[in-house]
Amino acid sequence: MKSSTKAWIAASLVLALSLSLKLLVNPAWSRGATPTPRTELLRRFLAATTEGQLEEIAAPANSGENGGWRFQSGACRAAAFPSGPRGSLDLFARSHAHKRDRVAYVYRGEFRSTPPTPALARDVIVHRLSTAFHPTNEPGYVVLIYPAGCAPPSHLPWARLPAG
Amino acid sequence: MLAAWPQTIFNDVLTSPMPTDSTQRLPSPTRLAVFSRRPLFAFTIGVLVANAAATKVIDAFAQLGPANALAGGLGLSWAFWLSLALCIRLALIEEDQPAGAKDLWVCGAGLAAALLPISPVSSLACTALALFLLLDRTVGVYLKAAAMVALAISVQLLWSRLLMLFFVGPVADLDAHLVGLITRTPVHGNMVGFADGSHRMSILEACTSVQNASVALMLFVAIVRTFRPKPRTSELYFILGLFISVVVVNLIRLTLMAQNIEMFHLVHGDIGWPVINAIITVVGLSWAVLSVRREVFD
Repeated sequence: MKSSTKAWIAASLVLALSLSLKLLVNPAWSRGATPTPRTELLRRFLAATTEGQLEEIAAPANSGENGGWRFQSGACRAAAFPSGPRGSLDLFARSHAHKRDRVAYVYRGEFRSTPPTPALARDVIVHRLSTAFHPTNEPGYVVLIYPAGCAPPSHLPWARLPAG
Repeated sequence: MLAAWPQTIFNDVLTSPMPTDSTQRLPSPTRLAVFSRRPLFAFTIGVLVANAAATKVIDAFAQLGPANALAGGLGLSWAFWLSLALCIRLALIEEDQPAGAKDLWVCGAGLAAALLPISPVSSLACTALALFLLLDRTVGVYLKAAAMVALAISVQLLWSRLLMLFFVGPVADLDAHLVGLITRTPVHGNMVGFADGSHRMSILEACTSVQNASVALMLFVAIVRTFRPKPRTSELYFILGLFISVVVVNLIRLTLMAQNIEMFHLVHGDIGWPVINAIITVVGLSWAVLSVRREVFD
């Protein structure tokens, strides 16, 4: 076999193999087990740790947004949403906050008043590098909306809620 | 042109006469050079960029279907594919030299990175390969030009996205405040009120100028390097002009959107979005042509 033919074959193999691996692990094509949606993980957590009925806040169809839940927090009704897709700045969740409502964020068990952007960005990078072969949810935080006159729902055991 | 290059990957060493004594022996790096440098780097850049873009292309096919994915630039943009083609062409017109051991190690590492099923690793390796070519004094002017285009491509694929991962909030807030200054409406974070007071508009990552600016920069570098492989200091002024133009076009778009709900739907909808993208592409092309006007028209 001529060396140029060998080169053709080797070059084509490297390209085909590298692109096939990308295709194999892509969630849109792989038929492996899909992770539990973050909205469902949040529902299970709230159902286990709060009293009263949970009320679903459905996300618009095909929006890519995560639906949320209204739950009882002390004497008030609060709402919790998994953070939205990257770059959406939680538009869907924050659209449910009235003018005088308070917005808080919970990430890896920590209750805070601002989104955990740097910590989440670092975790997203690590997640992208480490979970190519087993699809898991990208890390995310929880957006909490509660009325101004109420105590924040920081008493819940948020550390038990997985980040992804 | 692409069909012709692999013939030159291997120099057929078996037909070369063997050195008979130690004085005839070639120095170590050259003895290892069974590969030609030009196609080796062109191939490695091509594989790395193809793998860096692979996830976007696969997602576009899965979500939009083949016809829409093709129409939309395969999940990226046609400016991206044009830049990649120009980058590989620049690498292939470099004067050919045998590859040294260092070149083989670098390209081998790049190809190994491409085999990892994580597209951002390919982008990172593309950046590293481009920096290696730019810093290597033995690399010719066309291969260095190809490295600059590869660097601009990796900025669009990886670095602008990483920047937005950390700074999307402040960038969106800044855009909202600039729109608020023009429309004289209240601003809260990344939200700005409509001029008619009826609604509020949120500025998200896709609405900011950063993505548009990175595409325009990639197109600018690809075109300018194609017509003038060696860079000039004056190009920095053209790049500054390009960035200011892209920000101004985007601000005009956002200000139009913030007038009323009808205007919002018109500019943000299926007609307005491609029109704005086309305007930004034309702006990028115009600055590039202005920068290389002597090489193009003289």
